[in-house]
Amino acid sequence: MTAAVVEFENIRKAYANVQALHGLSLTIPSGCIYGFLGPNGAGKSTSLRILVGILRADSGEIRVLGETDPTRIKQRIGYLPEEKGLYKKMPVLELVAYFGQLKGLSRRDARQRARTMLEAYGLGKWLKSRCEALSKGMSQKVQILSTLIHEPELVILDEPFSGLDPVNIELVRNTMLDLKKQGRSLIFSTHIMEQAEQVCDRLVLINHGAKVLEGPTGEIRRSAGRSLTIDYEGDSSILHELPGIERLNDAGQTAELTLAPGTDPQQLLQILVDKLRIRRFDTRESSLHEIFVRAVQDAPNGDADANANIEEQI
Amino acid sequence: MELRWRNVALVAMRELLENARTKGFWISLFGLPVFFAIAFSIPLIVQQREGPVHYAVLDQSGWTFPAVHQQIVETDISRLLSRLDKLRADDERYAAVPEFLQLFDAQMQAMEPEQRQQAASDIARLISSLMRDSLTIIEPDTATEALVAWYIRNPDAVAALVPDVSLRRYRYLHTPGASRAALNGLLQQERIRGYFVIPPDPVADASGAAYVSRNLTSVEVQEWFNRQVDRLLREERIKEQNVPADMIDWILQPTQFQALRLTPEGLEDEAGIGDMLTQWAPVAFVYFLWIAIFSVSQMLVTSTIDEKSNKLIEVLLSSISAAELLGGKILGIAMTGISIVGGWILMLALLLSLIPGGWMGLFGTDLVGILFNPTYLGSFIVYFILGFLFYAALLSGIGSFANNLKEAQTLIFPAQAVLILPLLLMFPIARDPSGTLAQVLSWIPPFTPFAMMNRAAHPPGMLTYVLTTLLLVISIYFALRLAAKIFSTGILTSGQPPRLSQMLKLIWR
Repeated sequence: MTAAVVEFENIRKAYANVQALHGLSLTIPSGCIYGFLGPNGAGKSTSLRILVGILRADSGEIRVLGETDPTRIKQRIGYLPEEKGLYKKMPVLELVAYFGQLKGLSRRDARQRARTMLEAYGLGKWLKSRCEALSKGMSQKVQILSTLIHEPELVILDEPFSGLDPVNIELVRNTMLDLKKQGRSLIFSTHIMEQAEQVCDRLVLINHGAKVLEGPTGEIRRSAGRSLTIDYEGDSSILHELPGIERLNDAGQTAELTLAPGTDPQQLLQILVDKLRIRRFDTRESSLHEIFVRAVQDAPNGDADANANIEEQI
Repeated sequence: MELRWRNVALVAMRELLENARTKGFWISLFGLPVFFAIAFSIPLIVQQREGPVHYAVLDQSGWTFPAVHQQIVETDISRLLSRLDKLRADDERYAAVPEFLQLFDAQMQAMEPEQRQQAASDIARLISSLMRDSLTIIEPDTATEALVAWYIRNPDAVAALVPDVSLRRYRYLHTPGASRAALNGLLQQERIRGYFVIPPDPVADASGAAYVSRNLTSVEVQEWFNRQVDRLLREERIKEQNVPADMIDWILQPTQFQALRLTPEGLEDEAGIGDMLTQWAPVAFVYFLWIAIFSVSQMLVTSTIDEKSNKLIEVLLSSISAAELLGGKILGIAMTGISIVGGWILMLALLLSLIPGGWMGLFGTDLVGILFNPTYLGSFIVYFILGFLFYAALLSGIGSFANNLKEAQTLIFPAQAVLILPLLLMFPIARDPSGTLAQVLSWIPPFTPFAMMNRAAHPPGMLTYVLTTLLLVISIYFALRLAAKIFSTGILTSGQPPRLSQMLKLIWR
């Protein structure tokens, strides 16, 4: 992880009267899988569209693969948007080759690569079939191959797992890891934290068009403190008086507590056993999901509702 | 933004191939010409197959119908003689004429013009008199008697030889002494289309004249018979004023302006049906131009909506620019349109050249020559491309906001309404291709292709061609720029299409 593949500096973007990005700044190093996380309408897709040159930022500076105008380097980027489809009437081989040609490959190279890749992904029998004949999983494979056929330096996958069954999720995940092994840089957008946790080296959490958290995945989890789950019997009022607790979610018989950095769980256990009957006491690192929910809930209410629909407006 | 033509060409080729894979393309290519061929052929076939209209007459005056009938037969004999004149010029066709007719023709040719006219009149009188008494000549001795027998016994043969003879369309059914009730019975049995009632003294008062039929929308026989009776009654009324017979003819002589065409060399030439067709051919070209532009522009909108609904737009825009996508789509659809239109022209040319006897015989002119008239065909191709580019820019820009065909119909309706106007003005412009309307519309870019195509029969000066085309090309340039601007935003939107005010805001932004 050395040079940056993407640098955003104070990027702003508005749709009509809705501010989608509020001065977003971030740096994405090369050779890693970078997670773009955030709730629906947070501004993830807008950021990615700006990154691939589909949209222009209203202000701010951008540098992608060393170029300030992303439209000049479309051939070096592979982008799989969240909303994706295929030309239904087009034969599979022709379709993948077509996208390869649009990315600068010659017709011959594009067809050759398309054939090799489709065969490698188990679609050899479907080369001449129309895309409408493919199952959803097969269509997804074809879409990914269309994104990768020109061997891009930077691969951007917007919600690549949406609608996939576990087998295909595994396939896409392995493809991402293979690409990373090949030294490519990947940007991966999702709102399902478990997926990000599994594959991302670094991540950024966006909410209301602004960066909330950014850094290596492990570091974020460690810095977010530990979580504690207890099963108990007795008067729960003591839970509210415990020191070093950032957050409490008490369900009556079970409570989840988020510990502030530096809090010693053993001290808490001593306090609790004096007042309550403890049946379970379980500490662990906070999951990304918990960090995500916490960060989003803690963030000041902006135009989140409006953001959910901003891409439906001019 | 820099336009990479390789990308434009890739999109265009894909668009062309995609369209060629659809049933709609092949239906447009072959279906429309077949549809038009059927639409044009059916009336001709029906007319040819449809038997003559039978009519009866209840003549209360006792003298009117015999005189009218004689007049009708006299006209037929005159047309027969004209036909024989024409056939005589073509040995091969004249050889097919029955021998007795050739003999009769030779006898008539041997006569002086006045004698010939008198002879024709005498023959008509004889035929009419025999027919009204349901008589004929069983064993004709002379060529004239053979002609009389042939006319009475073989009306179909007469109609086949002389296409404009009245027997072809109208046949009198002899019903001596039949009452009105009896004629109504014939009507019910559909043995006659209608019958005419002539009052006792139609010269003094024709108010009792009537035409009785079950179907009053079929007025052809009524109008034809009306003309015959009308002329006779006027003649009788003038006679009652003691006007000499030759003066009556003079009074009743209709005024007919002979159509003459001034050739490019400045000579006056008699205008035939070929000239008429050449004159009106641009109207047909405008009609096809309209169909081609309208349907091909629709294809562009449909294709854009398909890509939007199939969620392909973002993938495409991550590889190429919106302008390249729009340019490629327009070019691809234009190539599709040219393939279809070219196919139509070739098929029509093939059809016309394959059956020259039918079409040439029907119109008596070189239809292939009219089709490939450089002014017409050249104008058609140039104005198809320019017109398509103009309307494609408008429709694709506006249509890019639509998520489905229903929304697209609503959004592009104003642009389509503009497109309907040239169709409505097609005939007024064709009637007066150099008139104010034609001239004004030629200078309004949305109408230039249609107005100039319509004026091709009387092409304006080269300067008008150059300047109106230049204006159209400039308009296309701005329309395409505007479309690219709208398109780049429109294709990424979803949900409710924008209001007009929002769209205008976007244009001026």
